[in-house]
Amino acid sequence: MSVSYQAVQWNAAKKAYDRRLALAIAVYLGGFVLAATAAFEVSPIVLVMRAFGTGAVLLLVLILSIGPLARCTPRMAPLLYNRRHLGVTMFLMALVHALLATVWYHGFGVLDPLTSILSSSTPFEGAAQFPFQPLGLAALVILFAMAATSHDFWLRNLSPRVWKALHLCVYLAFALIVAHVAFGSLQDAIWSGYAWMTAAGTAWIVGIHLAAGVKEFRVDRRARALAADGWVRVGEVGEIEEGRAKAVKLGPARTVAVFRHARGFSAISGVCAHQGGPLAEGRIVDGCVTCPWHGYQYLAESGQSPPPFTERIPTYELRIEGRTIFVSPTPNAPGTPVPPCAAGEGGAA
Amino acid sequence: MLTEFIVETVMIYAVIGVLFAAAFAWRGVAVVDPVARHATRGFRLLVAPGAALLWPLLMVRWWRAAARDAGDAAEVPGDRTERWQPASERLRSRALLAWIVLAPLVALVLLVAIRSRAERLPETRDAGRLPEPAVERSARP
Repeated sequence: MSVSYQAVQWNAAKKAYDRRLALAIAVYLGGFVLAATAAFEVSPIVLVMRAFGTGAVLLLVLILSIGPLARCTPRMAPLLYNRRHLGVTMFLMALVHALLATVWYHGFGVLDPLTSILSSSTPFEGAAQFPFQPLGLAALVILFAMAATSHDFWLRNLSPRVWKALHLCVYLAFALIVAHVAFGSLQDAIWSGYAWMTAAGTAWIVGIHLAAGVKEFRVDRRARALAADGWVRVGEVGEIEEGRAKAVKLGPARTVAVFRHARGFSAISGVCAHQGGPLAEGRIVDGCVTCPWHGYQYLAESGQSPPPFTERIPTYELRIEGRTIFVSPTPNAPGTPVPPCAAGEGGAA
Repeated sequence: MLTEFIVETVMIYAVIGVLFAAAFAWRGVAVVDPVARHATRGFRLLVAPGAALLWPLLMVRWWRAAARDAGDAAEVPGDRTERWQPASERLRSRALLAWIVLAPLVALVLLVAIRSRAERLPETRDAGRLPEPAVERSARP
């Protein structure tokens, strides 16, 4: 959250996060090379290449797990907060793997390395001869596009819709990497556990994404039924903790976050202006609604970021009948102030 | 022939991209987006790879921005919020569709690969399928 661009918006929490990430990667790479040196008779450069390759795959599995799991447990929120750094790190590890593989297997031939990767000289007779390296190259190109456009400058200048669509290509990259591993190293690995680990990791990622998607779909369908008679029931006053929110779907394309704060209840858009983060999963910090993804902040009563920041999101009218909260299905223009609705009022705010 | 054509095209695109990225990071970024006028060198360095990748798009943006009046205000992210919300939620539902399509494909790939591996297991040896590196090959008698 900034009024001008910086290379990296580090703060104490993000620095601590990155230090832990760097340490974990160093331990993994060192551990892999030491363990594999003892187990296999392979040249050191191949071991390092595999260490970076497997490390990148594991990091990708972690990254793809964060989104669906964060919807189930707030414990994943710290990982969600800095997912962008994980993504760029994963790309750099994949790049080192690709560079080592290119130099080692294609660097000293007659053809130039890129032509050598793209042209398969082995006759195709089955899965074992499938040209797996172009699959890895295609995945690397997608990961590069994502890492290169991860800065907020690109979000602003490509438009959020295009940026988000581009970054959803990570699913395609994941499928390409699974195929790259399945038709590549899996065919030559002596240890059968490698095949089962690949299958288990893939099943885990596909499973949690399908489960999260089905859950969202059901909530959307229920929301359409609720919104049929004008104002939508949010729930009872006691359901929302102080400083927290409840998400309400107003249809397939609108989510509202109803916050309880020191001055009463306020409703704002459930989607952050920055990267579409789920504001209802955030909390009130220093008097402002704080997005769980990257810490963007808004005033609950107006949907405006505190000065000098300029982000604005739509607000919604609330009313409390008895102990039940209702929200208007019509959004106000972004940044429109709405007085908070107090629990004791018993009428429209 | 086709592979060589693709590789040559990619190389030409990349060389133009790198040259464009240097110019864009130095001058163009602040013309396209006024918020970047006082941006740090680190930011300009980080933007360069994306500029090399998306140079045709940015070239058009740079040209349009330069032709625009200098006093034109830039759009702030808050102005895009109303478009962001429905787009974000629609993309989320499309993500489910993507996984419904990808799940059977990925499962099929894994099944074929694991079956192939099981069939050729007796002849498998570590690092056996890839061509051996030229350095080692040339060192042999």
